[in-house]
Amino acid sequence: MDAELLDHLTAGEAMHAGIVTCDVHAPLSAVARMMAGHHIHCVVVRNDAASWSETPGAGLWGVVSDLDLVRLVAADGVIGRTAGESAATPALTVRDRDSLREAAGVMSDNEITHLVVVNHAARPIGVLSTLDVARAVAELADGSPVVSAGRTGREER
Amino acid sequence: MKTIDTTTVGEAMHEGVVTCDVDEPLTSVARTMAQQRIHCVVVWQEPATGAGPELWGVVSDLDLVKVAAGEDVGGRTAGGSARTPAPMITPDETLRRAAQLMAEHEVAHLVVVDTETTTPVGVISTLDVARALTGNPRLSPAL
Repeated sequence: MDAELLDHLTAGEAMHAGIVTCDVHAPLSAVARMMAGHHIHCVVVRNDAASWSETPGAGLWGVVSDLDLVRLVAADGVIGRTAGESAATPALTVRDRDSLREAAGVMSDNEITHLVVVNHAARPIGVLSTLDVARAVAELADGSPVVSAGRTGREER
Repeated sequence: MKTIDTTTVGEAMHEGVVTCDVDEPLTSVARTMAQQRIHCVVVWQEPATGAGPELWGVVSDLDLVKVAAGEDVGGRTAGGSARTPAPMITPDETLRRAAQLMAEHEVAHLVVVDTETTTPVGVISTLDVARALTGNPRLSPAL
């Protein structure tokens, strides 16, 4: 594979558009339901008290991953805890125009599997996962698209 | 209601493991992950003489991204990038124990191995634990 190809694909091209969000005060049990119901590994935590339009990016509070959730389970449980207390803040983001190599570097340096992708106005527009990078690596190496198993087949895990 | 203390790993895991050969190119492992929508692949090495136990490790999508971030993935193999020994658990353990092991090793997946033979029989993920917290281990929009 031409190593430079990862420099020419952007985070915006490889990401999954759309984010699943919850309020900072949402109970963690609700976050667990969102993850299980949508088959997703991270939920973006909003701070509804901050206005997107007045301060770009101010409403993006943080991110809760399923590993964050599991760490709490292993420690003292999730009952009574909120998304805001458990989120990694600030959320690690990449711009939609950033290259996939840059995004891979951020994941690698921080040992995280999901990044929030923001647009020029610092508004979150999608999530880029390590699996999206794996897909790009495969497609660039072989020059053919990857056809994924349907959601009714093997679940994401 | 089932809780993480009363649900076993065997009940919540995904049965079966997706495997690849130790010499398989990493780009091919990437394709398998994307096609199957899985975050880890078990790397097998059969014993040369048929004697002794097989050896195995695990490659995660984060392992792959770490390679891709720095260099050309082209020349790399699954075996050269696998973590071994891989964090593992047996089916009779509770989900709480699985959560503890994930937190301890900072990994999102554990390989579930047969209690007696220690052969991989499945994978349990952080998402499986999250699902169990909802009280419905098999909750899925597809069902």
